[in-house]
Amino acid sequence: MIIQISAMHLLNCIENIHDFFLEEAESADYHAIARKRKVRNSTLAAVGAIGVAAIILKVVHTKRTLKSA
Amino acid sequence: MGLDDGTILDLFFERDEAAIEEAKRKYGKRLFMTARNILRSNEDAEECVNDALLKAWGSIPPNRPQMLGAYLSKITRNRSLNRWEERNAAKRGGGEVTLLLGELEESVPSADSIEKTQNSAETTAAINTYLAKADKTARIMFVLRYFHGESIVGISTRLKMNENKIKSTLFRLRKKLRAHLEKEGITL
Repeated sequence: MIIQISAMHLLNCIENIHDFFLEEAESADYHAIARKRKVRNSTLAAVGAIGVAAIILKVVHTKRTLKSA
Repeated sequence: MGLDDGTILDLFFERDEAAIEEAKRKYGKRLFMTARNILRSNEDAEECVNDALLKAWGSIPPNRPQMLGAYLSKITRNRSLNRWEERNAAKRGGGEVTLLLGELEESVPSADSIEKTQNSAETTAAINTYLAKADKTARIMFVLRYFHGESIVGISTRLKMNENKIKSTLFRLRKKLRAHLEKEGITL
């Protein structure tokens, strides 16, 4: 069966979501979430930088190898 | 720091009117913010919070909610949305709810030939399943926006994220919710 709903009905249904989700949003440590995201972004940036450096080294190495050949 | 939920509930069960005061002391601010986000009026919000506390007084006992804060939030939100609907019955538009409805339209799938039903239980179950699978930060964002009616700026301040990031995460959440609802056979 297909159920048809409206946006207002959806908004009303959100009222009955699990209490757990409400408490999670209420009691969340927002500072910890922000910190975690900052660490993750820094890690991603570091990994990206290492990747770029590795590619540059590889290109330089390949060029040198070709020159000396 | 207010009393713990168990003690407040005991006061409700003993029919001690201090229960309402204690519940308001502990959860009043949170309930007021939800009502205010929806109604954009301090007076109406205050009234809705008081109505919600009175309704709780009438329903506890026999109910003994496991999470009093969530229980009161749901009553307040319901009261506020009803008040919003009454207020906007003649004149449409205005307030955060109009924005929320506009955004949620994207999450409501469309179909050509369908049977119109108002099946809240199935829709709520589908939303719960969807939220359970979502990433924690995204889920918190969803609850703040679509349960509490928190503005994008408010969420951005709370989560210390820029507004564009919040908007794009919510956009993706709505798209995924739509796909999930469609999979569950729920459509506009």
